[in-house]
Amino acid sequence: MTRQVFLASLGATFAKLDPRVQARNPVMFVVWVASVVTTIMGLCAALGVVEDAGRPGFVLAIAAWLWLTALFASFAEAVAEGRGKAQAASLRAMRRQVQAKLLPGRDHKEVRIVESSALERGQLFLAEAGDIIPVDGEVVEGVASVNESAVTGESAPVLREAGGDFSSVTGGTRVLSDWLVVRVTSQEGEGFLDRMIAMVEGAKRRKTPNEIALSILLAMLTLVFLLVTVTLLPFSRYAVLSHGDGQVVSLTLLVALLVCLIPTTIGALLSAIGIAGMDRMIRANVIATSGRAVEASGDVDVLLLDKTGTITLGDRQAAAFHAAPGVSEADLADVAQLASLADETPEGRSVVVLAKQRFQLRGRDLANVPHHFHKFSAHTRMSGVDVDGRCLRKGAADAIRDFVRQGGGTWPEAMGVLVDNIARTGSTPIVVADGARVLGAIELRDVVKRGIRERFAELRRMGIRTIMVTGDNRLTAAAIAAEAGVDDFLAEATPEAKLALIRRHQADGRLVAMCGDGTNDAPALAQADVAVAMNTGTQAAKEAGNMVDLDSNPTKLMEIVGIGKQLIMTRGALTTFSLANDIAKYFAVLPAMFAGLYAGQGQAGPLEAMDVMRLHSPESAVLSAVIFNALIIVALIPLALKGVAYRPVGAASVLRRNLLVFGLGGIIAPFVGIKLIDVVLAGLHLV
Amino acid sequence: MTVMYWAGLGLVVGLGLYLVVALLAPERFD
Repeated sequence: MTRQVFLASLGATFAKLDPRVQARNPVMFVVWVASVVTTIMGLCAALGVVEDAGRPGFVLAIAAWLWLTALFASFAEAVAEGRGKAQAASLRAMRRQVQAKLLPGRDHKEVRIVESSALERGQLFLAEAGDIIPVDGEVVEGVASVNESAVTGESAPVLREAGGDFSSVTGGTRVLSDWLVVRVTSQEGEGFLDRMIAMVEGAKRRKTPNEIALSILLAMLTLVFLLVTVTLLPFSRYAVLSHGDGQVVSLTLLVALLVCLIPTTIGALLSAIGIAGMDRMIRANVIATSGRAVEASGDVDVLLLDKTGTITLGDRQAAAFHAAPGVSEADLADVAQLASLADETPEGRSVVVLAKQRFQLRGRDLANVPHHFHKFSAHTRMSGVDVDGRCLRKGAADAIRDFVRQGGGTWPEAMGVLVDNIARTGSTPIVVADGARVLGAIELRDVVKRGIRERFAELRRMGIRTIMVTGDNRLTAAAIAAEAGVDDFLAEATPEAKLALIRRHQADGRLVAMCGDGTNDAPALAQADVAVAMNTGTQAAKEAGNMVDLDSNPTKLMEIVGIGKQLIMTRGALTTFSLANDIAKYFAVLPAMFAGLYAGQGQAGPLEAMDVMRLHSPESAVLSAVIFNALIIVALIPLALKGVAYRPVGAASVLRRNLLVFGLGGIIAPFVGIKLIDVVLAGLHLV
Repeated sequence: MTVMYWAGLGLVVGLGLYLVVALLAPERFD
């Protein structure tokens, strides 16, 4: 936390003491009312108006600590909000007016300098090296490296080019080299940065379903403890009257008991925990549109993961050469490499590399030999080279079969079997031919990312089902699913099939998370409970999702689930701690209140036996409990903001561990804390 | 004393009702 955030939070803390703000949090509102009541009682006691309140100094000390309790709670919330505000301020600083190079003509020759606010949707502008991109847009021409660190925090420049997945640019980022012609997609004030600022500021943060459920529990507990403390007064009066001895419990003690018993710790930290969860998402470069989405990500039961890019590396790689009968593997590799020389795709390059690795065939230079390259086209579905009178081709099995037959050759039966066998293992066969002669096939295989199997095993332990979604056929999909270790797969996935799958799981009461980037993903994104759109994706996808990953990394979905789980675990842990705290407070406050009850002459009453902490005096006991109650909030602010340590294990073991650490810890800590405070108070002769 | 008594009772009943609303209609506190 920076000094500025701290100072700004201090100011906001006092503003939050407004009863209208406090009334939104029932637990803390009761503390606020208790503070007002004790302050009035303290002043009345000092003036001698009320007699059964207690010693004025003591009552005012209790009042002061109750005010501090309310202040600490407001401070926790203000600090959590302050971090978001600081982030929004730095984003706002970035979104300043810049000059744009408008291209009014069709030929892009004329450049007119205008203010960025003058740009309208659909217009084209030029962004050259050194320029700040004025507004969000889509690249229509050119390739450039862009520094997007302002948005993503990633300092390495990224490539932006026309067409494809990397065509969207964000206003406020800087072009580092070359130039781009960009079409404006959003006007100033409604761009990505503006939406991000609105989200980060989160002025209208609504309570999530879990938070509402917990608020009901906290309100219930507060009501129960209010009734308990109120009824103690007539009980005490009756006991004193019937026994003819002892003292009726003072109002101050009752108020102090009430505040000690109601779940102030979690009541104070609840909203800070929620805000900090969203903050952690932002740090992971994920912008969530609502706290609800962050929380849902912690409850996810099913993860839909795209095969390409998430489970496998983006591109298929050549893995093996399968020669046709009567052909040596080296000959096949040689021709395959020649036919791939002009193939600039990652698949083509991987063929060249594999031939080099297996048969020490170096990529040959055809510069001095007359040759003609045939580029791959969707129409021919093959590529290759004509050199030395040979027509070398590689491509899809049926395309090569037609090519061979046209050349007067025959398609060996063994080749058909080979192609089927390769396809059955989940790989893609690429057949190689030298004119009319079939030489064999290259096996292109999806390369499953390293460590992904372990990640899925981890998710399984957490009780999350993983489903791989792919456009591949069932055979291929099954093979990759088995290799990656996912629980299930959806092959030949269409947008409709994806949507149906999500609905089916939701109908069974499961929460589904997915990520996507294309417009065709939008319906499924809109349906999923946690929908992460890639920042490089289309506008439709970003609008359909409830989170945007600025890094456009589909693997991030797993991290998002972790952050959501951590949020829920932190809330659960602190609730457990807060409730467990009550036990020690009974042992501190009750003997202090009722030690004299039913006591014989010069003897202690039966409730004296509860004073296991052997506290200095009844007043010291109550004051220590109230002070502990206030200080524990401050002590737990860092944990509420940072979150409890997260480990990817099942719910049962998380619960066991949390009960042990925060349950047992919550029982023991206040015994130690209250005793320590009591010793200090007595040592300083304050009580 | 009577004023204090009634003020106290009123406060407790008021707080009680407020908590009942918080219990039954938590969305009002959003």
